[in-house]
Amino acid sequence: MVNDIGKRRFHKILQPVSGKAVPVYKGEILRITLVDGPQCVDFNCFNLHDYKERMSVGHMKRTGFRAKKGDIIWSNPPRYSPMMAVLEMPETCLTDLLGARCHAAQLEKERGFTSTHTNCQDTIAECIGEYGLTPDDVHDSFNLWMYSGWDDLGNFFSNVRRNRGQKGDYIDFLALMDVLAVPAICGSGDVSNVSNYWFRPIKIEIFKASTKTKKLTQAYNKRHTGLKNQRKLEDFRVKDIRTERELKPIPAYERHFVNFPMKIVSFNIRMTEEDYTQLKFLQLRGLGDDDEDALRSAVMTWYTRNRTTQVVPNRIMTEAE
Amino acid sequence: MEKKTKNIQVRFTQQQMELLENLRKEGKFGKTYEAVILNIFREYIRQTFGKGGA
Repeated sequence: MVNDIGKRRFHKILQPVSGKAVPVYKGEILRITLVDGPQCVDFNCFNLHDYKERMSVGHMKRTGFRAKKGDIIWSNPPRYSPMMAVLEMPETCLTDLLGARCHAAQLEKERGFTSTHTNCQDTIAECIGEYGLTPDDVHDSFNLWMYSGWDDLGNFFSNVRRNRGQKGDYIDFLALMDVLAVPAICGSGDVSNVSNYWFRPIKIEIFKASTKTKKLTQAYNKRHTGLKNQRKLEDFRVKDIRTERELKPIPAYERHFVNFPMKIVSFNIRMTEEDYTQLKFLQLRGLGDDDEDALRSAVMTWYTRNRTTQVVPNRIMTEAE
Repeated sequence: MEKKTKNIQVRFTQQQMELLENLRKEGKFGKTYEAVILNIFREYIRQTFGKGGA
């Protein structure tokens, strides 16, 4: 827990079923507190100075479906900037990166609400409308206090568990850049386990940057920036945002793909009989369709497993499994 | 008596070559790309299936 946080500069109780877009500046902390018990909160986040850069839930999913304490809110590639850090999160809070966001058409389709049921798409759209953004700018949510589940067949269950959030639970987000943060009370909570068939208010607070949080911000940014391929707007070939809705090709536009055409290098590897037997066994186990494929796959799998941060299971599953 | 050998042709992209170059520079797996490829293959077998192999 960070003790030395700055003075509170903003607070607001968000009543069901509302939300609020709030600027949170680099080094500041946004705190979201459950005021009255279990409540799912949807969360969007934009670069305050360039709304095209926003949280990429899709890329956060690549390291797990439940972001937790210590994790980073990343922006969309090619920028891939650390936007916020999850500084505090209670054990009672499970989060979800799979559920996207509920919306009115879904609630109509699944539950027959021909009247418009409250939903996160519309709530967040109303919040960001204050900053001139459109409903199309709402992005998939980082869902806080959402106890969803899934199985090995790929089925997703948004309401598999009851919400276990407790009164007084809070999450602290540290801003690593200036952001527009958008917490919203999930609009489908009264018809599902997502908020235990009820709506409850939440509190949002913003604490000014302190010496301690500034140092922390610096440390996070040092650790998570500096990659050559974390690109800035000035690196883009196309920088201007379209104002026309109709898509038409730009005359004389040339596509410049990365490393195209791909260069290939060929090697002859002399294997012993024993090596070759192992190579054949690999193919029988499903790693490779032929000798070359199996050899290359073995080498690259070893590299991925031993020289990268990616997790590779000891056994690669085959299609039959 | 000389052991039987088998020649396997394997291709890598220029991007995969960057990774093989990292391993070659480490020096632990051989000085040539061919040696690196073969030794990493053996390491993969050992690590994945143990000494008994696949």
